[in-house]
Amino acid sequence: MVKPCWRIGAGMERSKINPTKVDGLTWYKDLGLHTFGEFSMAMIQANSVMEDQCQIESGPLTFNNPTVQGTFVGVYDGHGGPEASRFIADNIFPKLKKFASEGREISEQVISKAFAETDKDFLKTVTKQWPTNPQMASVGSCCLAGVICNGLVYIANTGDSRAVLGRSERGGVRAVQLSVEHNANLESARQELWSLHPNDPTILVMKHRLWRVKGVIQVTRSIGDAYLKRAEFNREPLLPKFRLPEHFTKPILSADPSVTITRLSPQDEFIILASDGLWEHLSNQEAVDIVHNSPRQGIARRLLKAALKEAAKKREMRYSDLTEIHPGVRRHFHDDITVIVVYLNPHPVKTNSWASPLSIRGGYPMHSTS
Amino acid sequence: MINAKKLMKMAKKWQQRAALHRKRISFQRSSVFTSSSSTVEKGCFVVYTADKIRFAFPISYLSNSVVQELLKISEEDFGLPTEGPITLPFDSAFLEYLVKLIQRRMDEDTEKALLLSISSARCSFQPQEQQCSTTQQLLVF
Repeated sequence: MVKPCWRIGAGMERSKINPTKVDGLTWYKDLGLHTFGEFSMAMIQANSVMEDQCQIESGPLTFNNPTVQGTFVGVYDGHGGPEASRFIADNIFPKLKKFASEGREISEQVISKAFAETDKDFLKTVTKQWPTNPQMASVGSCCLAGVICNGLVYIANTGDSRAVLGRSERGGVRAVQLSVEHNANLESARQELWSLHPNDPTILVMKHRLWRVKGVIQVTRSIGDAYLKRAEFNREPLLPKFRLPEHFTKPILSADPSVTITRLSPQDEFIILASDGLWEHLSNQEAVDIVHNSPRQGIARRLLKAALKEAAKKREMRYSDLTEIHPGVRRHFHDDITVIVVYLNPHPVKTNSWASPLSIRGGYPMHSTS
Repeated sequence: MINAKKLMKMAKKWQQRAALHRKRISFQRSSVFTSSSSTVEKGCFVVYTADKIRFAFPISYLSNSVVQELLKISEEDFGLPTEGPITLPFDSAFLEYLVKLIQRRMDEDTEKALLLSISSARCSFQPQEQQCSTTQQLLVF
């Protein structure tokens, strides 16, 4: 179920313990402490309703094994509405803990199961709401999750958000991309779809100089998007622009995450996790250079500003004028952006985090013009 | 109401101005004038028209429903630009005409009718003859 309004109250309650700030369309937490070091978060809204969501959870990763401590970071970039990204933020971490408790440890399978069950439960919600709210069938979200535990970092990704590691190297820092992305404008994602649907000549269609799955969506994997997973939703009253002309039997999009596992070394300084709103304006190397060369306090907001300055430049306008634009129409100038920087200490900050688990949720509630 | 004589005069003015390449609508002076290519105008956002003319409008224009409709049409026709500026699928003469109407603060009914005709007319903007007939149709207001 999509959480009702009381959830807003619960969020505020939580933010009293871990204060976060809102400045106009920007939400941020300039510096906090997770199990393995410091972190910084920032988000900015461009859509009339904020579709990005994010969270950081630090402390026990199972319900039954207190020795499995770690940090969970999630970036959820919704499309077609905020419902899917909010659903993920409400559900994926408890599911991860549930599956981790079964095997009393974190593993690739545990994370993949959490993704699969989150998607399955969201589709159940869509089915339930179909008679009264059929447009839920066209709501979806990218899902990027990072788990840092036992000297390993697991990066699981469904969609086109990105995680980049900053690794120190000869006086500078090198960007190492940890996530595998699923966007039709990447050759690997197209090849995967073409091989999965060899008999469908319109599985990928070029529209507005960009590849789109069935001519409608750029991401090739996602949570939600029920209309591209189950043919039962490919009918009225779903809006015509989401309806496919032909019947399909096999799901077109999948929710399977691509998972990478990296053993952390002392050279690994930080990880940046962000929605594609950031990466369309900053390269991996530009982003890690900014983080490496700037103070930690407010680093996520600094990255956000760097991306917005680039967006303003592309639109031939001033950054200060861009910041004056109201949500909704603002989407013509940039996307919703979420960025989380997680600094990595070689040793867990045991005294702080074990005593008080941390839970911060960003992006909900935010400014709404509708 | 715009009479035929006034209309001819306006059309002539636009033709002259269409010959200029970079334009800026200034709302302090309520007139159209050129701006040098390298300036980033303070307090403005920029759009290009299909005939590659550059317009800078005050940010406040983004809350106008006609401007919002134009941006929506641009998104539907071209997608959201990832690298460069926003381009509208209309030519500069048509945009100047719309701006004149916006400046005059049309009443609610005129605005409604205009919104309707922009969205219903936009598909026929590519072929030259149809574009003229659409423009004429719009000038009836």
